Amino acid sequence: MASAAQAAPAAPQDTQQRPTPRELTAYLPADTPLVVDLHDGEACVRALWSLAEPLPRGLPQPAAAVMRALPLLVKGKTGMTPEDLLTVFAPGQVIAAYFPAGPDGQEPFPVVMSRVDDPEEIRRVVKRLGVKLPIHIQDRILTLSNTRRNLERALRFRREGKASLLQDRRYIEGRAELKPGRSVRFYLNLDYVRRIRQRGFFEALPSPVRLLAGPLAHVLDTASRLDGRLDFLPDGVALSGHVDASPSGGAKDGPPVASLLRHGTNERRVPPAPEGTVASLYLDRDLEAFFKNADRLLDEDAATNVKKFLTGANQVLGSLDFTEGLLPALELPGAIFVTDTAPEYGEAQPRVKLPAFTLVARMTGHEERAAKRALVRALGAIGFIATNARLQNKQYPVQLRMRTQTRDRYQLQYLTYGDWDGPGRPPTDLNFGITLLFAHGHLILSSTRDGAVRAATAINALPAESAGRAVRGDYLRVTGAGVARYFHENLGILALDRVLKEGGTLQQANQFWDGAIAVLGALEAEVNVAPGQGDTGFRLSLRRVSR
Amino acid sequence: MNLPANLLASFEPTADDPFDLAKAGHLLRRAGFGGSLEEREGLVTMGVEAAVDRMFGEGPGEDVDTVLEDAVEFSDIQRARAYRFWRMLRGRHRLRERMSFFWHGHFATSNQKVKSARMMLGQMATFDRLGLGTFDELLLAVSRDPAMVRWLDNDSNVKGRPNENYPRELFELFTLGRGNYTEDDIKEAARAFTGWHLRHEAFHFRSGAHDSGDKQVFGKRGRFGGEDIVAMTVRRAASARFIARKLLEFFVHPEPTEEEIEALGAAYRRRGRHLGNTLEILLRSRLFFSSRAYRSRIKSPVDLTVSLVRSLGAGAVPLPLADAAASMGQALLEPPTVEGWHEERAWISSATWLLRSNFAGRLFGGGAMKLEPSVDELFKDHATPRQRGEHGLRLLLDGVVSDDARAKIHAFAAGAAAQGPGGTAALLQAIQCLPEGQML
Repeated sequence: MASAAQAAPAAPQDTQQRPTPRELTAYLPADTPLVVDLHDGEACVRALWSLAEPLPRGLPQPAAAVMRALPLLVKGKTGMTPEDLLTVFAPGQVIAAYFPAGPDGQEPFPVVMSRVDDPEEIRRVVKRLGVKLPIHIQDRILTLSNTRRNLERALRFRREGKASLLQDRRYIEGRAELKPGRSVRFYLNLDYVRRIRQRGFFEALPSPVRLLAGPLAHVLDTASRLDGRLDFLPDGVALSGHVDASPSGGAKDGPPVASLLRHGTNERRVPPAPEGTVASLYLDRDLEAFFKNADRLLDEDAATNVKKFLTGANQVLGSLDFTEGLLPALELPGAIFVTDTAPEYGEAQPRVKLPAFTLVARMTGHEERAAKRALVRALGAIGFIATNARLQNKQYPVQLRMRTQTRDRYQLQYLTYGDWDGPGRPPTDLNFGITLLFAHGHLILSSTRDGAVRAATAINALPAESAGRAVRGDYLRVTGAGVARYFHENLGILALDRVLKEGGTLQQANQFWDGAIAVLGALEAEVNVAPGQGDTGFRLSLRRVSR
Repeated sequence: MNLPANLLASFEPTADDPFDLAKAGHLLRRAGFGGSLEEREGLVTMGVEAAVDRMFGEGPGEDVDTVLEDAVEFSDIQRARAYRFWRMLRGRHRLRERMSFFWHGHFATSNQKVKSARMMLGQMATFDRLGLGTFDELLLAVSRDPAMVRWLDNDSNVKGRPNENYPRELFELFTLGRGNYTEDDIKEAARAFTGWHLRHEAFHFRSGAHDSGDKQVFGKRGRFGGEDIVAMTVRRAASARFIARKLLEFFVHPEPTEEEIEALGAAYRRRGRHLGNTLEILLRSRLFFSSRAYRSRIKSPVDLTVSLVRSLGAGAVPLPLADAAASMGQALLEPPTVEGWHEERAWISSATWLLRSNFAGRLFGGGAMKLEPSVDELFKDHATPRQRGEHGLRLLLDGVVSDDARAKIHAFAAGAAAQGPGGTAALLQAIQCLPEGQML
């Protein structure tokens, strides 16, 4: 890696000048598996860098110093400022791609192409860096790969002029459009990926996550391509795209993954987020279908565990069957909220500060009274079982009692350890209880009483004609500042945990977490995966919320 | 002359018997889990008086006490164990950590039954706080320690149905040794400890469960409570000998002589059973620095893992280090029985030998334990095979090995296995696998 870069020998001069196509993707083969296309490389990198300015508040000094010194480091190494480097290496379109496997069994390989204005300047910078890079510059196109041999393969394709990606039906049909300037296009050839993998995405998923990620994996199994676009916004980035298949696709004798979706392509109304929400998750799943088809959706061990769960659940529920009686009474999984919460047990609080975790599900009206009775009964049974388990394991606190309380006119049934009157702080377990609340046609299940009341209050605050916000598919929203706050509250434990698992000093661990908290605190994330007619759309956005 | 008084006379270096690197290394290993070459050389320079003073004071490292409140929130024993390893690796008060390790083996309490990392760490914190104070205070605190109460079933010791577990082990294993008490003493002492229970995982005296009647223990009669039993026990001559023997086995030689025990027991009694003061006498003594004591103990897995890292002047990740010691048969916070671990030759078998050797290879080779700085970095100023061999011997063994072993190491250093990538790690592993490398 110490000698100067070597340019490949120039291609033989053509007797006829071929016009240079506008798109660099013209130099990629038709079945290229992956392409990342920056229409304007310089604009994209500037947009990305501008998101980091100013640096997040609270970023530890060493990290901030490195960020500030980066331009100087670049100049010291290359003799050019980062801006100049961008202008030289990426003034126009830049693509990064994986070339497909060759006919002689050669592996797929990475390649980067960039339109450049000043090839000589590039050669000077590479020489100054003193690294051996397989690069080639011709017709103001810089081509770079990981080995000399692969570079030759890429250049040979260009010379041979065979069918390119621009002639690939899949690529053409991709509806993601590249905005001039500040966006990046992604293209993934799923037909090719499946050929290489020889194993489906759904099949590769561990059973415990199939309920969550199964529909998306199934879509990837049945689609020919994935197209995406990364947009640089004034305050963040947004990745959007689609896969040209819907969850309802797939072989008739395959796992009934489509049955996992309750609403599918339709919009639905979901409960509103309570006050102090840090994260919201809405999943469109049909749990009744899941439990009925567990044998076909899961591997043998997981399916057996599901059966064990159902046996146990039916025992605690009493006369109401879990799958036939309880699930039809609720629109599960409903909405899951992570919220701030008031202290649960009076003045003494555990050292570990945790939010409340709350499930909210609309009641359908089917066997409502029986469902409510069964759930209250189940709560008592869980308390009894947990108490005995803790007693056997000598865990403190041991006794979980069921109580009823009226708060803010809501009647709550909850499991409680009782107020802490021991020495020192109570154990972390006291962050967790189970509170059951039926209000406004909803079941609310929360780890704290305050969490349950917040959820009920939010539903009650809806205008009479409104049934909540509209969502299609799965939706997740996380407030970075909220999550960062909990990390900050528990910084000592996190830092010590890092020292024990990663080594280093306490100071280094604190700096790491300070940095993570600073970055997280400046962000907000939203993810939406929604099925459409014949395709599935997705959107991920990351916004910088505080400058 | 080996009269008891002379045994504990202070070591005074001479030209023939200087306070050298070997003795400095011996002091650091026995009183503090070892130290870097730089530290050992530093102690040699400052002299034996100041060196021993240093062991009782504060050295470089982390303020490990400030995070105890965080550590007790780890509900899993694995991280609790890693926390204690971190203290041994990085704590400023190395003798204190060493004594806590000693008391943990002495008052052996296992999380296998206690089932609370919080309570186990609480017990260790008691050793940290009182381990170098008076034995009276320490023993009383241990008798009330929640982990101990649960471990030896004193939380079911009630009036009318006394449970003898705790007093039996108290006399036999913690303070007196067999033959120095009677069965009746145990029965009566059990009555004294009734009501010494737990509430909210903290000690709680339940007066309603306590037998406040007359008892006869050690030939004395009275309405004794647990505190009285503790006070009477520590004052018995057998207790002084018992503690003296334990200290000598741990700090000096696994088979102390009767004269040595007598001498240290007398010193311990004269100093009001103050452990720190007694230990100071011992650590300054000719006995401690004698050839009889030098490399007379076999490193336990905890000693092996921690001292290897410290001898290199390096840092490492505590969790895999703690797991490695556990795999070699010493899971901190989980001794196999109330007798603690069987030491010395029990640590070496054909199976554990392989584990110990492989551990050294993994540590020096980098990987999960993330030795920092790396061994290559530690050897960057030593280019020739001879220099590398000597440097390795000084790092790990104070340079003190037989001529035969030295020749073998030099030959290895010159060979292909010690060259190139991984060569330094292989050289250090070869040195560590010498018999001397297994000795404390």
